[in-house]
Amino acid sequence: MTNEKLYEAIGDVKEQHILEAKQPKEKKPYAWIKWAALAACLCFVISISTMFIQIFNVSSPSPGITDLSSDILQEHREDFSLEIDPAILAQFEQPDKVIKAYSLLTNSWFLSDKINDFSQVVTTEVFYVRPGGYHGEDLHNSFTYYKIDENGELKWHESWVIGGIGSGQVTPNTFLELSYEVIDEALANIDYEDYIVTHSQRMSLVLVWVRRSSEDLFLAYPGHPALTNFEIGGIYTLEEVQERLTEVYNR
Amino acid sequence: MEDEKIVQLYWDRNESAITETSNKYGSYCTSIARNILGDFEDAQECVNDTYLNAWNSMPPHRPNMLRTFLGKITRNLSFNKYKHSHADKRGGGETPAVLDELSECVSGKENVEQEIEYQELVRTIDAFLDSLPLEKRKMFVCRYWYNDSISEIAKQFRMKENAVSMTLRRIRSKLRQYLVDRGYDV
Repeated sequence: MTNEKLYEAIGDVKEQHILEAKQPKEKKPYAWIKWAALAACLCFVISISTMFIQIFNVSSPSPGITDLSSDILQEHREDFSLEIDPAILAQFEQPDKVIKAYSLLTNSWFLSDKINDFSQVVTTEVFYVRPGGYHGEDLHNSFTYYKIDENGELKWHESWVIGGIGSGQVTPNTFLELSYEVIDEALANIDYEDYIVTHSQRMSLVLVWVRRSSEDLFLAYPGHPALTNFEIGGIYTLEEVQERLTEVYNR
Repeated sequence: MEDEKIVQLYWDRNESAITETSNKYGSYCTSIARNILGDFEDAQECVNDTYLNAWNSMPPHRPNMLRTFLGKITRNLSFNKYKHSHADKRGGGETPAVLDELSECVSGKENVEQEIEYQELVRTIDAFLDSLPLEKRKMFVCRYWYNDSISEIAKQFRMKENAVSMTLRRIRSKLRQYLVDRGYDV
């Protein structure tokens, strides 16, 4: 290949690349936000002993349910997809590292005997998660959540820096060191239609909902395996997911 | 004037399309042409040819982004002019340096048996750019699309010129490896 051919091919790259190159650098967020995020994480570490109670606290749902007889428990499998809008992906520096995650209902949904399809307990609230802290630093011990605002733009939601409890911990757990490659590898020997990443911030648990024509399966990436009774990378049926959470709840 | 309205002027065969284009994107196109050719008069000629080219392309084209549509035309015309002038060893702005740097990514030999599909190559470069962090991607495009000088890039990214050169060198080396990994006979 000649340098001229390469130069000409560069001339035909995507318009987005050409436009963004001349856009001014995004303003750095205020430093105090970063420190506030770190302080929040420190609080998280200190309060780990009370986390068990918090996980199953039914008094403050958001989003969630307090009444298990509620008709919130409707099946809506079609509302979820793995695909990420390219316009959203384009807003990330490393689009290939972004994971789309749907929030789970909070509280004790697993106690309900009305659940026969996992879509009943997944909300349409979506987070986009990438490795790294607020500024993209600390790639291996932090991750950052974004939501999409009404204009379709990324809105920083929360950054987690895993110190103390995270160091030396087996990964991936929750979104730490988790990627679609890791999930694909874990599901290499399973026949499935698609999968959806779901997440409970309260339980610090990522459940990959593996959708199949037969029984759905769930690949777990718990932040705290001992507290939630799931093994990192463990695969469970819906019934087993409910059983495990119920057992922990009743301890 | 909004881009859509300017494009409509072209479609209506209204000659004020050229004036509006020149008002809005004249300096943008001129800077691209001047970076490639290094000569204001040659650059101006290419920019005028850009307007003519746009006039002949719209209709049937209705570009989504008029800015990059015009920019690409200017870049192509300017590079063609550069190649023509270069045979006489004159002019060139940043282009000789830019091409020289890109030589690090390729061998310079055309392999007839393994003729590279141009569109596939463009897609590969796009994918490579997508894999870069934003600031590095921007730097690459500034240098190898816009032909910006190292000092201009250093100014834009608030970096030292040495650091810019070093970063670009690393990106080039990464691009070469990226192309090799994907089977290109570079």
